[in-house]
Amino acid sequence: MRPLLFAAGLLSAAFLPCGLSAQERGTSPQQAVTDWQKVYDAAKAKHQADSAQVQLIQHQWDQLFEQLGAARDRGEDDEVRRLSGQLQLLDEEKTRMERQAIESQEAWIESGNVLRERLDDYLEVLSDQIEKSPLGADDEASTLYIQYQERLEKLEDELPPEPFELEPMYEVEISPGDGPREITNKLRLVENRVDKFEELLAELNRDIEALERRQIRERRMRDRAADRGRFGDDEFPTGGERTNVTGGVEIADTAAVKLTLEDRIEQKKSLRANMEEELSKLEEKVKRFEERLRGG
Amino acid sequence: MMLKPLPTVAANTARRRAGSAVAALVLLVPLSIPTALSGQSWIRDFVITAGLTGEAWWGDFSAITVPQFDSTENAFAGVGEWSARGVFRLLNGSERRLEATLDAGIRQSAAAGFQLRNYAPREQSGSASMIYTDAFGGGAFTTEAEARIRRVFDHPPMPLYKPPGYDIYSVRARYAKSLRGIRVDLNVAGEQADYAPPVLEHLDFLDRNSVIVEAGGTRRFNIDEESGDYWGLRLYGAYGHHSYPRQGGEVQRVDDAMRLGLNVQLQWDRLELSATLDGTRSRSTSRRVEYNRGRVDAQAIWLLSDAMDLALTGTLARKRYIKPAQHALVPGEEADNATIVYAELTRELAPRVDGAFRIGWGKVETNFTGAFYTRFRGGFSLRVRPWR
Repeated sequence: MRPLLFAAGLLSAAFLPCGLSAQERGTSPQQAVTDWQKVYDAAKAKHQADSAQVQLIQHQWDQLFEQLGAARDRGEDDEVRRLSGQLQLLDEEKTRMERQAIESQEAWIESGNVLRERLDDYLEVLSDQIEKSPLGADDEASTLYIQYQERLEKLEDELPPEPFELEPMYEVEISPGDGPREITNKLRLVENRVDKFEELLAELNRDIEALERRQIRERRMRDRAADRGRFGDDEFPTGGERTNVTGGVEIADTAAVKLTLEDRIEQKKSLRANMEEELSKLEEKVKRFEERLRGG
Repeated sequence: MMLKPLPTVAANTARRRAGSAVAALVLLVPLSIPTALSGQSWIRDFVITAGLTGEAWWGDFSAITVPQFDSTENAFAGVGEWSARGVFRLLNGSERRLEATLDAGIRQSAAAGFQLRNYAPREQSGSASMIYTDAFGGGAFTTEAEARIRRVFDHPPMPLYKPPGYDIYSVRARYAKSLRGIRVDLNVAGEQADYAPPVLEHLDFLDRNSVIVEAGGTRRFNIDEESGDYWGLRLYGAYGHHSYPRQGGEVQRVDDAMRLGLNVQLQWDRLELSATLDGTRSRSTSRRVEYNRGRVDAQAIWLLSDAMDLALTGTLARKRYIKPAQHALVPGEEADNATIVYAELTRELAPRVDGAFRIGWGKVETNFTGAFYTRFRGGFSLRVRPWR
């Protein structure tokens, strides 16, 4: 008996709710929504502030870059050195802020997901209350249900979808007055973008390969199960439930309706095709800039 | 427990016709749904399989549902089979999905070793299912309707055991939702099994209507977020109500079964493991068929390379009757213990073509008389996917 009790204890421990703070364990579903709404609002405000900061720095960086080009045109070497130094400092700040904005976005999405779960929990409580009361007897719960349902819908609209589009980048082109220095600088910028694109493409290819390997694995598992089940190779006359009527439930990290592997591969391949097109445009641009530099 | 009088041929024919009409309806539903899918392929997966297998059987096992008799205890068979399975997307939104799965196969065996004559059993199998999934209340709601049909012609005597033919219709509904890191699911299913092949009326004893309610909780632990390695477990409990309209005299046989189970899965580097422990306590209006049953299913898949993997699968089932003194063969439940082991080596032979070498061994026996049958099989299959 003792080993059985021990095993039951272990299982209960494994199924204990995770990620709960001590305070949260004692709070009501409505209070949990209020608490997480505050966390979510703060995370959202932080991300909005960080994004605005990134945009501001990007604008300053663009202006400095233009000023640098102009100073080079005028042959003001001291000004060029000063602006280059400033650009370098700003570049470091820009990278830091971009990283911070990504982190705050992750925190915002994470808190949004928790808030969504809390709203769901509370809506379930309200739904139970409404169902148990005689018709029209619990108008307060019905009103609350509508209010919180609207909050849930608003939250789902606010949270960003998984990005599958290329981020827009400003065009770098040779201006009529550009000399060799300006063209060289712009060439380097485009070459940097080519490097970045190649790096992203390599990462995307690795993702696609990993997903395709997983697809092969999952298809083989389904093939094996279908091949054995089709003609009853696994059926033997011991009785009980001959068929698994309720079906197999996968061990997944979420209960949400997820994209199938096929869809995910398709989306990533579509993104890869866009990136490859962009990359070939950039490579053409590099060639064009190099030709201009050679005096073509 | 007594067996009810067998239904008349006319009643059987009417039931079969009704069953065929339902099957045709399930098959026609996918054809009636528009297939414009915003540029995505509507074929999610399609695979054609061809296989050749050699089988050896031995033992002295008897099954009520196999009325053919032969004094041999050894039989051999060469088996060829063709099948096709397709999964088709009929609706593919970000939050809802409708898929149809069609599966059909034919298996022809040439059996030898019997005293009376050489049998040539032919098995036909088909299934059609529709699954609809929708996001609802922060979780996923899934409904499924499925029809499965199996026919066996020139059914051989034991020890060459072929499961009987049937028409099975089932509907299922599931709601799954994440609550504080645990994925909770509630399943309700109804099934009607009609064992009504063209000639063997004995099989009507196996007819069964079932309602099953199952609830489970799943917890997943990520080992490495980047690689996707994880381990997880699912604990579930189920209640099943099974009635057998052709079994019983004045009191019809109705079984109430409670099941408890645990499934553990691990994906780590190139290894995938899955094990399920399942225990059933079945009680009935007929004391003679009350039993407790345990079953373990395990599977290990080892990815030897990107193109090749080795899968090992095993099943161990044990059954004990509550009143062993009242032992007698129960239709379709003649055996008490079963052990089945498979090994399959799958290799990509060309793009979209897999080759699978498989060997398997299985032993099924009864505690009552000690009778058993053993099967050994080895074969090769080609699986071709015309589209990726």
